[in-house]
Amino acid sequence: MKKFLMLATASSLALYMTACSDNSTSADDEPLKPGSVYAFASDGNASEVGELYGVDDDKLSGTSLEFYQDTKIIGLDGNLFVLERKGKDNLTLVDVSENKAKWQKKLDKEANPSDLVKANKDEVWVSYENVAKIVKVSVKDGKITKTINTDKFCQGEALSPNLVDLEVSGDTLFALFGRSENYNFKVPALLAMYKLDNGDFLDTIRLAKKNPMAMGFTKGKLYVASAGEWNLETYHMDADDTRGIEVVDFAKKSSSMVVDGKKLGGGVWNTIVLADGIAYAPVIEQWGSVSLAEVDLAEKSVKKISGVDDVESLAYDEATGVLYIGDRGSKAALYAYEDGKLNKIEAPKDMLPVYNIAIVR
Amino acid sequence: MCAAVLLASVSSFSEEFVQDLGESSVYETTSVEKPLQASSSYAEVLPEAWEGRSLSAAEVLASLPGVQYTRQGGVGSFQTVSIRGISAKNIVVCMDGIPLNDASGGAVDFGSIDLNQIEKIEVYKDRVPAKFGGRGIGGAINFITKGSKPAEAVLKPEEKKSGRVLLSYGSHNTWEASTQLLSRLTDSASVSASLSARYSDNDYEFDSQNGTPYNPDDDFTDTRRNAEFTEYSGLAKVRVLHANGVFSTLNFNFSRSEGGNPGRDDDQTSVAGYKGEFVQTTYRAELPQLLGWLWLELSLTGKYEKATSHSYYPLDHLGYTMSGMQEYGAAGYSLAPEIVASYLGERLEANLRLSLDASYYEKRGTSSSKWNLMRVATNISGDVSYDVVRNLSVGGEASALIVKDDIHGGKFVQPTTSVVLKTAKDRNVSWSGRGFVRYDAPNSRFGGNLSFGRFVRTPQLMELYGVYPGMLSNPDLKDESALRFEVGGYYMIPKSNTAIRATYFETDLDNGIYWLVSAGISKPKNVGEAHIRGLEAELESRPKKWLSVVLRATFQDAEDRSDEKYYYGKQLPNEPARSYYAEARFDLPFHLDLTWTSEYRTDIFDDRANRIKQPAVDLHHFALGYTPFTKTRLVFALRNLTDETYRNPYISFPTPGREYKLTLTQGF
Repeated sequence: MKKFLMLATASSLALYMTACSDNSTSADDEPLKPGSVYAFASDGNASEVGELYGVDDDKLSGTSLEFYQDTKIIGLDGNLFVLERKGKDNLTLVDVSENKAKWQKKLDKEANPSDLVKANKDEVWVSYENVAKIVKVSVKDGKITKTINTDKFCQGEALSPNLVDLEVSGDTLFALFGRSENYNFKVPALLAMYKLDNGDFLDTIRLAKKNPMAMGFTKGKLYVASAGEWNLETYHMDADDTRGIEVVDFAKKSSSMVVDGKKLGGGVWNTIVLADGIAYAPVIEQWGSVSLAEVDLAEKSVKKISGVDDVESLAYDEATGVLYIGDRGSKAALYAYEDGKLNKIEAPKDMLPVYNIAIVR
Repeated sequence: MCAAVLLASVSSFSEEFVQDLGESSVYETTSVEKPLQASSSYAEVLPEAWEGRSLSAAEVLASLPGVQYTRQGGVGSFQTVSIRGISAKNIVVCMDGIPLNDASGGAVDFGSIDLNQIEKIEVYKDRVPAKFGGRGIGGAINFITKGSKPAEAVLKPEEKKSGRVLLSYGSHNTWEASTQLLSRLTDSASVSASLSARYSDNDYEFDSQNGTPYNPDDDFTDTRRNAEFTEYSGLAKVRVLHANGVFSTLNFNFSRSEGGNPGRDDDQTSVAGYKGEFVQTTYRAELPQLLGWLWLELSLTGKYEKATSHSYYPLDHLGYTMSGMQEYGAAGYSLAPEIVASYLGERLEANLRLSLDASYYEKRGTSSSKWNLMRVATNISGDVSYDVVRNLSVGGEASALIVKDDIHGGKFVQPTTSVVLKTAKDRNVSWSGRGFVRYDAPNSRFGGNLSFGRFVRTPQLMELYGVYPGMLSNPDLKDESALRFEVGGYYMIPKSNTAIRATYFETDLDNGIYWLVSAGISKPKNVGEAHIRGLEAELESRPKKWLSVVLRATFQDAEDRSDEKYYYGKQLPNEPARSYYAEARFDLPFHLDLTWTSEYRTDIFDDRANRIKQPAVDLHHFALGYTPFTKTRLVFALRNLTDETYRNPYISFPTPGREYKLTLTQGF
């Protein structure tokens, strides 16, 4: 009976997923306005601290806000949320109009917060990578209002199933688990689904590849990008079929490869941006070499965007169609990629490499 | 203000009230001496600089011009020094001439050195002497253990033995106990031994921001937890003059330390800790003169060291996110035979040294993956000094180091797992050399020294092959190198019993090894370049019998010159533009003496990117001594009078504020 109910839930979910569009958390149909672009600059080995910059008049300028070097910034409903990751484990809401922190809250010890999505107009879901939890947080004051335990997905002796990314579609919260054990990926990634409003567990789908990095929706389909494992002989991320971008088939509760590492030239690193059937993915080939691939998901074709060589972060402004690229390589800068052209955004001389980018609207 | 009051009160005493303390086996008063080697680049620090003063080895060394220190906690915590702008990992640290620098790890931890076992510290600021193997570029520090002086130099002819006991107690339940014994067995044999123990709760209070600098509401006063430190150490030396004229010395040192690893200020641990074990044995034979001109010295040193750290993730949040106790570490064994040939002529002095150091390291701890690494380092070095004319000498030293690594069964640790390496890459010969010109004379009021040299540091095993997860090592690393120039001199003013010394120094560092990040993975690369220049000056004076004064100053410009735009032109981490040290010692009536020290340094940055700034700091300490009998001494010391505890929010390791210590030393 329990299995039947689960299957029924999954089937309903699959039907729903094929019908809905991405970014369904945005209920209004008003045309999007261009967002404000923020960049967090840091260099982990050179300093414990990084700095928040804003793009104004096509120039980067400092906000005087400092955060831990391993920090992720996320724009949501006019707010800028700051996730200070393992080592600090704070959640901060930045008032972008005044460039100051509205509130800052300590999360669970060594939580390593990995993502944040909207739960409703007053709350957000925050995922932990190193603690087996997803927490719901009040936007007003940062208080935790609900907790989802995810420890049942832990692999072997690991204490956390390594939740690396959250997505929302309709009234469903999607959670992507890496399930590593002591730096080893013995099993493929896992996708779990919860009710968006109360966090009730719905279902899971075992994915095809190991060491997932990120996921996203486009044209009603969920795509998951994976890095795979390092080649232990050459110390490269090999261009093979053990990694790449896969699409989830909710009806079959499985996933299949769209483009693999052979086409990409390596594994996907850190993030993926999906827009109108196109995926932008940093591709790691070996240490110090992270190119940027533009993937036509329908055609399954891959094009490399030249001019960047060590891509760290991406953000996409749906209103303008501009892809923002943070590169820390030989031509380190924040770039705006539009209509096939790469434009460097002017930055202060000693600004550290761009580590994270967020669009706030 | 306090110093001024003390100065005023003390100056009212006339000299006849000051007792002559005479020679004591527990305390020797400061005297102003001519600089050794005609330069402030070489210094010797004696126990009077630390005994009863509540100072660590790093703090004692930082009283010298050109030396800066960092500490990450209380007694036994990790502490390092830099010399003339060159960071700790490039400084060779020796115990009785044997390098302590673990080939697999980084800088030597000065917090683990118990000064109660030390008789003298030699500091070479301008070079790593060829006799220490020529493996560093930032200078050398040689700790000479107690009992190194021959019995004839310490005991009076009628004495058979001497010794002492030291006991101290201070803040945070810190105590030390130490005893030394020297005994003349026969006219040609003596034995010395020393045992020491120290402990601290290190439970000092500190201001915690709870890791949330933008949330002042959750700030609170916290107490350092799980920071206890315990150390036992000992040494024994046997000296025998054989009938055939061979002089034998057998040295044995050991230490065992363990402590908590308290973690970051905003996430203190519960059970995490570390253990360290160290054993070193050296046999040395000094042969009688051969062929009427040649002196030979043979030695063999065996060394064992083990360092492990442990944590329990559910309580400590350190290590892997796994249940169960995790332990990581390594054990190393090394064997180092050495032969030194010396010639001492009327105008020419020369030494030639050949040594071998075979070191083997292997995994310790709970990790299932095994690794082992072996390094055989052959070193040929020599130094020569020639008196061109009277009082003017020229000379030099050179060293060639041939390193052969064997990593059979070794693990090259990857970000995700480990892999067995088949072979290590052959390395080029590492060479260093230095030349000098010196003007000096035994009774001269002035002298000078000029030198120029090239020094290298071979990459550590960890940098080349990796032994810890989360990093991508680099077998292709080149040696770090430096070109160093210095010119210095001294001037003596006998009337006021004063010596003035000054040295200008300049260093160009190349191929500095830094860990860089790409795709979240750290990898060491030869990207560092730096230029350091500076001036250090020192005045030591004993104008009155009851007063001695030391003033030291360092002015330096330590600049990152690497190609990376983020760092070019930035100040090197932990290097202030200026630092000052002042010390005044007053020999007071009623067997009392007072030593006041003040130190000041300008702003420093904690990081290479110059984002984490620590403001200028001034620290003041005093020690009040009471010597009622020749062999009895009591010292009350107060460290950090003004309770300075400033930290940047991104500096995770709080240090103690004001501390007290009472020390009793009894000779016998």
